[in-house]
This record gives sequence, structure tokens and C-alpha cells, in this order.
Amino acid sequence: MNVITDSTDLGRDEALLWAILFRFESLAVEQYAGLVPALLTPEKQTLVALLRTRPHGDEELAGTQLEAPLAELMRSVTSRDEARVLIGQGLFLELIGEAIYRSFSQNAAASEPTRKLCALGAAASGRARTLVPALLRTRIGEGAVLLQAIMTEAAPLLRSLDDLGDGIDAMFLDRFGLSFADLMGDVAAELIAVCLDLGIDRRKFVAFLTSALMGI
Amino acid sequence: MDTVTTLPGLRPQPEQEAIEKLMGLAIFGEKVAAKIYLLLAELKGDFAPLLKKFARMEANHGAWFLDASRSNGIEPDRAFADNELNYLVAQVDEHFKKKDFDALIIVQGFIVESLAIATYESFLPIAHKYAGTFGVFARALEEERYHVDWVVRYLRLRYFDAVDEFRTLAERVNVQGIDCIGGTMMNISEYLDKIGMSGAYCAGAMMDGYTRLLETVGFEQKDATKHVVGMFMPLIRKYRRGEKTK
Repeated sequence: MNVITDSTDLGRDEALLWAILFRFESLAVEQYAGLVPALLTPEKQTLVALLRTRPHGDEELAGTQLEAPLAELMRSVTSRDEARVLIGQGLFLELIGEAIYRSFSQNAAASEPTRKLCALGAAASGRARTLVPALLRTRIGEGAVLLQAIMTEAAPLLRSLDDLGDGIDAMFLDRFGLSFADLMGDVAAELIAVCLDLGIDRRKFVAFLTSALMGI
Repeated sequence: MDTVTTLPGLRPQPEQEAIEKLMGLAIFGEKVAAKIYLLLAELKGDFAPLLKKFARMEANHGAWFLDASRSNGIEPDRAFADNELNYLVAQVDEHFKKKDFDALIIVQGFIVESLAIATYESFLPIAHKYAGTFGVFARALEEERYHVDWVVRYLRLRYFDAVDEFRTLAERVNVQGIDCIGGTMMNISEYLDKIGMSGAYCAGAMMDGYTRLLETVGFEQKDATKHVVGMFMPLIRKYRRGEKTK
């Protein structure tokens, strides 16, 4: 915790980023605690403790382009079902989070507190990335069985991502150079690598991703 | 394979319109491909005989598809094809004017062929609906793969130990090329669905096929995926909102 300098005077864009991350990570901790305790790692707990040092950020989010799509995305992964949490939160959102954290942790336009927060976040999501494949394999399976589960559980999440994209571009592209298209490129690259390791047919997985993102 | 054929008069109107647009694009797209290989032959005399052979093969594909269309009561929609292909032709002319052989070979050998391969592959399982199409599309698919095989070998050798240079070239060419051909993929998606194929699957197959081609010339897998998905995302998002992709 002491590696973080004062985060009380963040600019509006960064305060918004912290508010978004707070929501993502609070939901992750809540769902992992109930359904997938293996993902409630010390790294994740440290990250959430840090995010909690700031107010929740409702006022930063209110009325922004991100407010409604973020709420929809959170709804799409909120579940009492282990498979949905493991796939939606543990696989997809952790990889999306890791891509965001990596981008901001090395971003010269971001403040030092944000860069340090994001370095911790990248470590926490990176840790999850190492744990999730084995959990998917043991709890759901591999290959075609796992692909079917991913197609069922992740489709709502992917469909809700598009609306979030506009907000991300509007809020973060000019100042931080973070674009939704680049972010999705990062996420897809990691997802495909994980899925290949789990015996999923690459073409079928890419076709699913494309289909879900096209809204079909 | 060609055992079940729907007579043109009995084909539902949305399917009839869709297959006319798709066949139009396939036929006139093959003609454009033939033109591109001829332009490439002009730019590199060493490869001219082979590239002219490729051009003849592409022209043959167009002729086969036209015959198969006519015998199935399908009138290829030239206006639709021209509208889709004009942007490509403009890019091709620009690369040719600059005598940029490598840019042109990426546009044709990677981007255009990726669209053709993804859609022809996906067409074969439903080709029995249109008498005589299975054989010609299967043969065209085999020949497109043969062309791509040569293009990959050329680029691997040309950029052997110069992957960064290839990357710079690919990024430059892809921005326009994917916008154009990927845009066409999105624009035909609904027509593919109407004839019983999956537009989304074809789009995914094109992205995956193109990513693999970049990998064969030296991109790391994750790097290639990131690059291709990053370029397709704006097109995918436009499609989702019902906006024109070009």
C-alpha cells in the first residue's frame, strides 16, 4: 500500500477510471469469495484495498457515456453460477482488465498514483490469468465442451461491450491514446492463446467472438 | 454433390436477391483479381509468366461462376459488385502507379484471397442448392490456396530476416485494405445468412485466415491477432449499428 502516493487530487478522467475499476474489482471480489475462492488472491485483495482508499466515484460516473453500458456489463457477469463467474469474470473481464491496466501502467499521460495502481492491477489480473485455465479445465472441461460453455456464458458480456466502446473512446482516447479497437485486439490475442491451450478450435472460437461482437 | 437444386422460380425472393449479389461479387471479384495479377506481372518481369498464369486462373473462376449462375437462373448483380469493388480498384491503381509490388501482392495475395477462401470454404456445404456450383467452387478454392501458397513463399523470402520491415509494410497496406475488403465482408454478411451460410462465421474465418497468413511471414501469433482484430473492430461495430462500412 505504501507504494502509492496520494490519489486524492486525480483529474476527472483518472477519477473516472478509478471509479470504473472499483466497480469491476469489487464485483470480482464479491463473486470470487462466493463461488471461486481460488481467484481471491492476495494480489486481488491488495488491489481492491487500494481502490477502496478513494470514494466509490458515483459522482464521476453519473451522466457519462460509460454509466449505462458499464451497468449493463456488470449485470451480464453478475451471477450465482460458478461457470458463468469463471468464464465471464475470471476469463473475459480479467483479460479486459489486464489490457486496461497494462495500458495505463506504462502511460506517460497518466499520473503516478494511477500508473502504480495499474501496475498492481496488471499483476493481479496476470495472476488470475495463470490460475483460470486450470479452473476452467477442472470445473467445465476442455475443447468443444468448454467452447460451448463459453458461447453460452460470454455472449451477453460480449454484446454489452460494444456500447462501452463509445464511452472508452470518448473518455480515454484523446488524452491516453487508449482506443476500444486496440483494447479488443489485446484481449482477443490473449483469449485466443488461452483457448488454444485449452484445446478449443481456433477458427470456431474466432467465429464465435466475431459473431457475438457483430451482435448476431 | 449437386443433387438438390431449387428452380429459380421457386427460390424465395430474398434468397434470389442475395445469391445474385453474392455471385456478382464472386464473378466480378475474380475479374478484378485477374487484373491485379496482370498488373503484378507488369511490375516484376521475373515472375511475369507465373503471375499471368494466376491471372488466367482467376479469369477462369469468373467464367465458371458465370456459367453456373446462368444455369441456375441467377443473374449476377453487377451494380452491387461494382459498388463493392470500386474502392478496391482505386487502391490497386494507386499501388500500381507507385510501382509498389509488395503492397499490391499483400492486397491481392493476403487480403482479397482471405475473403475468397473464407467465403468459398463456407459455401461448399450449401453448394448442393445450386446445381453445378460445388465442383467449380471447390476447384477455385484449391487454386486460390495455390496462389496464396506462392505469395507466402515470396514474402517469406523477400522479408527473410526483415520481419520489422514486413510489419511496417503490412500495417501500411492493411489500414486501407482491411477497411475495404473487411468492409465488403460486413456488407455481404446478411446475404450470406439469406442463402443459408453464416456471415459471422465467414467474417471470423476471414479474420482467422488473414491472421494466420501474417503469422506465416513472421508476426507472432498474439501480435498478428491484435493487429487484425484492431482493424476489424471498427467495421464490426459499424455493422452492429447498421451503418455503412464504406
